[in-house]
Amino acid sequence: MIYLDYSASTPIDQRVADKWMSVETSYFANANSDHVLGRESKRINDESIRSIADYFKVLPKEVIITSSAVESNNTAIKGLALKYPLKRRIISSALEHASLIGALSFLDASDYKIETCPLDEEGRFDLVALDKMITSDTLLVTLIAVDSETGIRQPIEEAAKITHRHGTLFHTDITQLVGKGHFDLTDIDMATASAHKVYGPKGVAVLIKKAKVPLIPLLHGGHSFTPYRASTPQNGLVAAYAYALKLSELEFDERLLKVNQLNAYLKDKLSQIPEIHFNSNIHSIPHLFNLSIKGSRPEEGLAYFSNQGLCFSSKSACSGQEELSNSVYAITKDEKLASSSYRISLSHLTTTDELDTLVSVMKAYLKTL
Amino acid sequence: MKKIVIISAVWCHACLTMRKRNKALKDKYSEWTWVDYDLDLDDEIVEPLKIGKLIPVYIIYENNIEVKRIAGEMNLDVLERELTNV
Repeated sequence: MIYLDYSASTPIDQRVADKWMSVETSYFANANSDHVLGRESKRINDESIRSIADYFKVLPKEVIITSSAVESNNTAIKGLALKYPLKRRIISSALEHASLIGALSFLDASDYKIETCPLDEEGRFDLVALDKMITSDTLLVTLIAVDSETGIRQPIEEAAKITHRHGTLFHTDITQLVGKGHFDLTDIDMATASAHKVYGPKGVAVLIKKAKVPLIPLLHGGHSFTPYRASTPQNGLVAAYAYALKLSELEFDERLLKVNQLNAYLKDKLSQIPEIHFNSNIHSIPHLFNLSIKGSRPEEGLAYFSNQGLCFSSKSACSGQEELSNSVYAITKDEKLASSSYRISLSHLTTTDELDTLVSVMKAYLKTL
Repeated sequence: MKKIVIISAVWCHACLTMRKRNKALKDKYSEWTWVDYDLDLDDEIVEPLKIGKLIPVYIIYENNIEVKRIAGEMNLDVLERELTNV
């Protein structure tokens, strides 16, 4: 089986798994307990939170541990809406994760006005349009950092600066960027990230919330790391997440170099196949490789590839008109390309042998069309 | 007697975009019966309808007989034309 769906989830790094198990077994006591084992758990948790804060270059009190990016996004959007019930306009985009759209849909049903920031011809957020869209009634601008279909790195830092000029708050989902590219949260008020996209465990994520940003928590009761999210601290999971981030930082250059080489290798091989069109562009992170196969229907194509032992994705299940990929259409303006796109996601764990198999299976698939 | 069944999901951006257009037509054609189903929450009702993967889906009934179904994001004019020209 060849796994090329690392943007959906990464396998846990064995060193991270060992850390998780070690902390979970050695520091099992409730960190809220006022006895020696509880205090030891708290000390370990404090170290983990400090390490996570250092990674994101924020203060420890600005780290809110959650169970998933879904929870982080919901906490950010609904928590802010609860705090400022009179501001009822939110600007977002068609590229957002389902959990962000879900939270916005929930608010839309309560008479919020949800507006969509358009994309420019290169698939990036149109910042001139964004600047004109923000008004005094805008509660929040929330824009994703990396388009999860094409891998296009979005100008979130610039978008945050524009948003702040209007006195409005800015949230971003950096889940697909952490460990893969550099980012700067200086002007960003809230950011979502998840451990399982960076070789950490599933079940733990973070919402970075700057100290000056008020938020009403969604979960109440039960002392935790922070007043913004109640629950018994997940000692092992949080230590594992902190360690996964640390490793991604320590090994960043090495991992990125490997993925850049793999991306170039794959691009070279696939560029020899005339039926294949590359949708990822100069702004894309090398980990995400979006392509269209002319004449292909992704639903059938993915079944074929899966039967051949290849695991990767297409666009999300719901993407609008005529099953078009919003992001691919924004770049190509070609409906056929936008309705025949595939997402291959690479990792430093990927091998050229695996990519050779992918290319060979793609060639065989083309003969079936 | 005309009835429009709309099937959507909270995680779907196209569905979110279409909500206000749906609302405009619901107000304009208030004599029609409008029924909203959630793809996930109302799965027992939605599954037999075999709607495929593209949402939102609009199923148009006349006298309780399905006469047309359309799907996906479209502008208000197109949606109105599709729903009225059956």
